[in-house]
Amino acid sequence: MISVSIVEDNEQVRTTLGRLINRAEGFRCASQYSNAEAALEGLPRDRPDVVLMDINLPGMNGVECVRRAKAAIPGLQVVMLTVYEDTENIFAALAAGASGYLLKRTSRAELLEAIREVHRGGSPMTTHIARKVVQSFQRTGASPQPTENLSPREAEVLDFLARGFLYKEIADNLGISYETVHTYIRRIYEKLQVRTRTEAVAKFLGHRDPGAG
Amino acid sequence: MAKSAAGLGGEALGIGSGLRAMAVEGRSDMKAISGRAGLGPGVWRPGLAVSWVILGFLFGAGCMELAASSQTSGQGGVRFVIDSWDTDEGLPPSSQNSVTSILQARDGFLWFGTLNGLVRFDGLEFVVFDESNTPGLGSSRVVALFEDRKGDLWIGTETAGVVRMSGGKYTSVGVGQGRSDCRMVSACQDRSGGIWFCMADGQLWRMAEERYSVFVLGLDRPSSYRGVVADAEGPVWVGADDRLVSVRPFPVPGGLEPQVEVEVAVGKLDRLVASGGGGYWRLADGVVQRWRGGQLDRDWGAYPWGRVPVSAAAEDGQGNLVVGTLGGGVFWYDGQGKATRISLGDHPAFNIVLSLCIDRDGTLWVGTDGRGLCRVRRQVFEVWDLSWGVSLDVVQSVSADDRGGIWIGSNGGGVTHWREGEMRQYGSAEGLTNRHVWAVHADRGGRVWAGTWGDGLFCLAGERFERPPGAEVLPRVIRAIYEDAGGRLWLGTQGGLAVWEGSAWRVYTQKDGLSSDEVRALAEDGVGGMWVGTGGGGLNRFRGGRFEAIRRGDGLPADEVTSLLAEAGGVLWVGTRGGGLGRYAGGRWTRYTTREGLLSNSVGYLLDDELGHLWVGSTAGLMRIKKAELEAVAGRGAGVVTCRAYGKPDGLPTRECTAGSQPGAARGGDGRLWFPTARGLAAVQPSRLNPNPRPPPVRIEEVLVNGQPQVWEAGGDGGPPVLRVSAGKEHLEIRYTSLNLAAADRGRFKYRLDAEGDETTWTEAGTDRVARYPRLPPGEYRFHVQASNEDGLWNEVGSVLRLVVEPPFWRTWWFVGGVVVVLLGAVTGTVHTLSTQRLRRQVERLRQEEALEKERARIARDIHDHLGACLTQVALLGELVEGDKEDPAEVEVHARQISQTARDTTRVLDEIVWALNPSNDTVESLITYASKYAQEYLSTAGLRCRLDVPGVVPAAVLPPEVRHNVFLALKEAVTNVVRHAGASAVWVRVRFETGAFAVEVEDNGRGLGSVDPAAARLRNGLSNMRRRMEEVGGRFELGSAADGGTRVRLVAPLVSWHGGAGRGRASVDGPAGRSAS
Repeated sequence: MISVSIVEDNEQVRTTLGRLINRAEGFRCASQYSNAEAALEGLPRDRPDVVLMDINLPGMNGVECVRRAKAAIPGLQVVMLTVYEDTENIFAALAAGASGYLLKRTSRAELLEAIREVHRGGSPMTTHIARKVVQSFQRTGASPQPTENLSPREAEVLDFLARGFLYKEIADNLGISYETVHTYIRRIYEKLQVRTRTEAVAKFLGHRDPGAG
Repeated sequence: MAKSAAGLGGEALGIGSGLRAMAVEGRSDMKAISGRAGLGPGVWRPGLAVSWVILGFLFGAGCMELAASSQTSGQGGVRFVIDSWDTDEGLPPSSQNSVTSILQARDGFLWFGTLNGLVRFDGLEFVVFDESNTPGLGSSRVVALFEDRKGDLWIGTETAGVVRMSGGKYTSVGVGQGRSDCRMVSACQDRSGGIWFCMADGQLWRMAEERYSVFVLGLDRPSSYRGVVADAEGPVWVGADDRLVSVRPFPVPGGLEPQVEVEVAVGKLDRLVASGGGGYWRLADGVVQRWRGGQLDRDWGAYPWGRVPVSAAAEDGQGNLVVGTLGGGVFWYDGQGKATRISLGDHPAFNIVLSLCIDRDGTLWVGTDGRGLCRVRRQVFEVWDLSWGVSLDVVQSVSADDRGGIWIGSNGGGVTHWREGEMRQYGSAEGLTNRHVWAVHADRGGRVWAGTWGDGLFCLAGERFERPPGAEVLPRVIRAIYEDAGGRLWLGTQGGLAVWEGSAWRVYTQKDGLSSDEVRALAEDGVGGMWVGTGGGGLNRFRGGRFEAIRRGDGLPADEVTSLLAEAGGVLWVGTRGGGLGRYAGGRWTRYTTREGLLSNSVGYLLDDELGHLWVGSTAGLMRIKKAELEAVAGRGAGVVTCRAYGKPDGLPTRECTAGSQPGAARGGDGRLWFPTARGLAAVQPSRLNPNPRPPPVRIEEVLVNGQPQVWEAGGDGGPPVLRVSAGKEHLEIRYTSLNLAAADRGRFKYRLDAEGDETTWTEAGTDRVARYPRLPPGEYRFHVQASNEDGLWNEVGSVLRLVVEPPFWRTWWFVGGVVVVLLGAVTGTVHTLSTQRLRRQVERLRQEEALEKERARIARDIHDHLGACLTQVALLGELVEGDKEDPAEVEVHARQISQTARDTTRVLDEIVWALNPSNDTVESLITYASKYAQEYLSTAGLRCRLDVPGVVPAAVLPPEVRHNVFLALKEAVTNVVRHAGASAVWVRVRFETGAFAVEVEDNGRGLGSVDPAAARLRNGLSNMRRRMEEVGGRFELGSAADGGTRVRLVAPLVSWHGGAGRGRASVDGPAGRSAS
C-alpha cells in the first residue's frame, strides 16, 4: 500500500486526484493540503510514501516547499504536478529534491504508474530535463568536491538521455541493467541537488556565478 | 569700568588701641593729576572753561583746613563706596571732566551736562550728544538740566540758550541765548504746570501752554547764586544772593517784576532746595533750615562746611538733604540733622562739586569739576585692617564668644579680640609665640583656643596664651577647631584628626582608616558621628571608631574639602576647592557650580545667616544665596540659583575670601556676620541688607543690520515698536541695556526671539548686552528682553521689539506673480510639445495595437476553432455516453474518447500558452519545446527519435514570429515524416552557424525519389514551410539523407532583436499542423 499526500490548491483537482488514488488498488490518499505552509506542517506527521505537489501554489511555491520538505524528511519522494511543461520550474523542482514530475493531463494509468515507479526508487528523467541537467553541470563547472562531479558513466547515461534514448535503450547500449540506469539517474539527481544547493550558497556568499550570462 | 574705592567719610569709628580704620584703598589706581593742573598738589586752579563757578571756589580756597577738620565731625559711622568715571572711562573728551548738572530721567537713564556735550548714562556706558551728532542742541556746552513732569528735558547751554528735548527731538526755545550770563541756572515746574527758568542775570521765564513770559528779578544787581524752586504746597520761591521771595506768575502792573507774595529777609542766600513733602530747604546765613508753610520746620544749625561755598544741593528719597561744596566735598544729612562728610577722593579736585543728584535707588551721583563723575553708595560692610604693621593681612579665622566678643585669627597677626568696638591683640608678648593663627575658637566654657601653623595648639588662660596640657602629642599644624554638642574639642591638623578624650588627646590618622591626614573641616552628622573633610581624601564619616570615606566618585563635588556646614535635619553643605558647593541630604548629593550660578567653584567658608541665606566665601568674592533656591535646585535636580555677589564695589577690601581654616566666617550674637578676607576683616549686619526692590527698566538701544544702525517705528495701538529689515541682510544685532545705575554690571539679561506664533525659550545672556542673529528668514518676529537687578529681581515686562524681515524680491508678490506667468507659459508650451509627441507616439502605439488586435483576433479564432471543436466533441461524446447506458462497452469507448479529447485540448492549450508567453522568446526555449514536441509526437507515432542538440545554447533572444514560424515549420516537417516518409527513426539536430541556427529533421524513410499521390500534398506542405522560413528571413532546404531518407533543414537568423516591435505574428496551429496564416 502506497500512501500518497496531495498538495494542490485547486480543490476540484485535489479531491478528484484523491478519489482517483483511493480507488486504485494498492494506493491510499494519506492527506490533502491546499498550500505549501499547511503541507510543511502536516507532512512530517503524515509520513506519506509519495507526495504529489503542484508547482504553482499560492504563497510559498511548490519548488520551495519541496526544498523544505526534503530538508525536514530526507527520504520523502515528491512528484511534481504541473499543467504545462514549464521546463524551468520543473528543473528547479527536481534540483530542489523532487523525484519526478507529471503533467496534470496525464492519464490515470500513467499517473499511478509514475507514483509506483517513484516509490520503487525509480528516477524518471525526460530528454529535455536531461538537457537541463547537462547544462546545469556545464554551467557550474567542476566542483572542488569530486563527489559532486558526475562520474564518466553517469555522464554517459545523461548524454544518452539528453539525446532522446529511452532507459531501456541506454541499458542496452551500455550493457547494464534497466535498474542500474535508474540508479545512475538517481545519483545524478542527488548530485544535481547538492550542486544546486552549493550554487545557492555561493550566490548567497556573493561569489560570482562562473557560468552566468 | 568705574574706578572703585571703599571710601570713608573719615568718620572715626570708635576704635581703640592700635586699631585704625581701614585706609581708603590706595588711590593708586586713580590717575595722577592731569597736566592742566600741574601746579602742585593741593592746589587746584580751574580752567577758563568753568570760569562761571570760579567765584565761588575762590571764596572757598582758603577753607581746605576747615574741610579737613570736618572729617572728624562725623560720628555716624556711615561708610560710603565711591566709584568714579572720567574721560578715560567714557566721559566725553574735552569735557575737562567737569560735570555741570545731573538728573535721572523718568525712564531711568542718568543724564548729565558737561562742557563737551550732553551725556546719557545707563550705569555702564556713556552716550554723548553734542553739536556734531545732535545739531538741534546748538551748543555742546551744557550747564543746566531739568526734566518736567511730561518727561521733556530742558537743557541749558552756556550761550545757545535753552533747548527742549521732547521725544528725541531737540528744539531751541529761544530763551537765554547770546551771552553766558543769560544762561539758565535753575528751573522748576509749579503746581499748575508752568515751568520756570531762572537765568544767571536775573531773568525769569515762565512757560505755560507753550507760551513764554518773561520777568526780571534783581536784574540790576549781580548775584553769585540764583535759583527758582517750586514748593509742593504751592509757592514758587525765587532767590538771589540777598533776596528770597515767593512770586505769582503775573507781572506787577507796568513792570517786569513778578508779583511778590512773600518777601523773606536774608543776608546771604546760598541755595534753595524744594522738599519732597512740601516746603523748601533754605541754606542762608550759615545755617541749614527747612521752611514749610511759612514756618521753620527743621533747623540743622550751622554749616558743617564752614565758609566753603555751596555749589549744589538735593534731597534724597527719605527727605534728607545733601549738599555739595566747592572744595569741601559732599555733606549728607540724616534725619536728625547730623551731616556726614563724604570726601570723594584724595585729590582736592574730587571735592569740588558742581552738581549732584540722588537716583531712585538712593545712590548719590556727584559731578565734580575736573574729576568727572562719582557714584556714592552707602557701604554695607564694615572693614578692619588687622595687619598690625605686618605686611600680610590675611585673616583666617573668626569665632564669636558668648559675651558679644569676636576672636580673630590672622596669618601673621596672631589673635585679635574685638568687643564693642574695642580691639586687643595677642602676640608673642601674650605667650602666643607663633603669630600664624589659622584657627581660633572661643568655646562654650569661655576658653579661647588658637591653632597655629607650626606650633600646634594654644589656649588662653587669663590674659596669656599657654600650651594646654597634653598638647605635645598634637601635630604642629592645626587648621580646624570644632567643639561638638557635648563640648568635646576636635582638631583638624595636617597630621590627622585629634579629639580630646577627657584626659588626653587622641589622634586618628590614615593608619586608623582616615582617607587623608590633612583634615580641613569638621561637622557633626547629627546622629552621633562626625563628618571629617580632608584636603585630597574627600569626606570621611567617623562613627564608632571607624572611618568611612566618601569620594568624588560617590557624588562628592571634589576630593579637596574646604568647609563643612551641618544643618539640623541632616543636611550637610560641603565646600570644595574646584568642585563648587555640595549638598548632601537623604543619601543624595547635589552639586552647585558656576553653571548653577555660583561665582566661583573654589569655595572657602560657609556661613548660615539664619535669615534664610547661605554665605559662601570664595576667591572670586563673597556670595549670598537663598537656601530655598539651593533646595529648589536640589529638588529639581537642575536649575540656576541667584547668587548675590559682594566684592569691592560693596565695600569689601578685596573680593578674595580666605580659605583653609575652620572656623572661617562667624556669626556674632547680634546677628552680625564676620568674614575673613585676604585683606582684613569684614562685617555686615545681614538684616540691614535690603535687597534692591526695583526691577530694572530694560531698553532696546540699537539694532544694527550688517553693522548699520536702524531706525524703528513706534508700534500702533500702544504695541511694541516695529523695525523693518530688508531681505538678504546677513547679520542682525540687537543691543539692549538695563537701567540699574547702582549695580549696572551685576544685572543679568535674558532674551528670546519668537517667530510669529511660535514661542521659543529664553536665552540666558548673563551680563551680555547684545543679541546676535546671523540670518533671519523672512517673517515677523518679536524680540523680548528682560533684565534682573543685582539681587535677582527680574523685570518681567521687559522690552519688546517687533521685527519684520521683508521677503527677498523673489518672494514678493510681483516676482512670484511674474514667475507664475512665465512658468505657466513654459508649462503650456511643454505640455503642447509633449502632447504633440505623445499624440505621435499614440498613433504609433495604435498601429501596434492594431497589429496586436489582429494577433488577438487570430488567437481567439484559433481557440474557438480548436479548443471549441475539442470541447464540442467532449460534449457530444458525453451525450453519447448517456445514451449508451445499456451498452457498457460503448460507454467505455466513448468515455475514453472524452478523456483523450480533453487531454488533446490541454495540449493545444499548452501550445497556445507557450506561443503567447513572452518569457519563451529565446532560442533555448524554442529548441527545448520543439525537441520535446518532436520526441513526444514521434514516440506516440511509434517512431524512434534521436536528438542532437548542443548542451549549451547561445542565450539569444528570438522574436516571437521567428520562434513561432520555426516551430510550426518543424511541426510540419515532423508531421510529414510520420505521414509520408514511412520511416522508423527520426533525427532532430540543432546546429549553430554564424548569425543563424539550423534545425534539421532527418528520417530513414523512403526519401524524395518516390513519386506517389502523397508527394503532391507533401510539396504543398514543403511550400508552406518555405514560406514560413522566408517570412522570418530564414531558409528552407530540402535534401536527401545519407541512407536515402529525407532531410529538412530550417535555417533562421539569429539577429539582435529588441523586442516589442509589434510586427510579430504569433500563430497557433492545431495539432494537425495546419497553417493558420
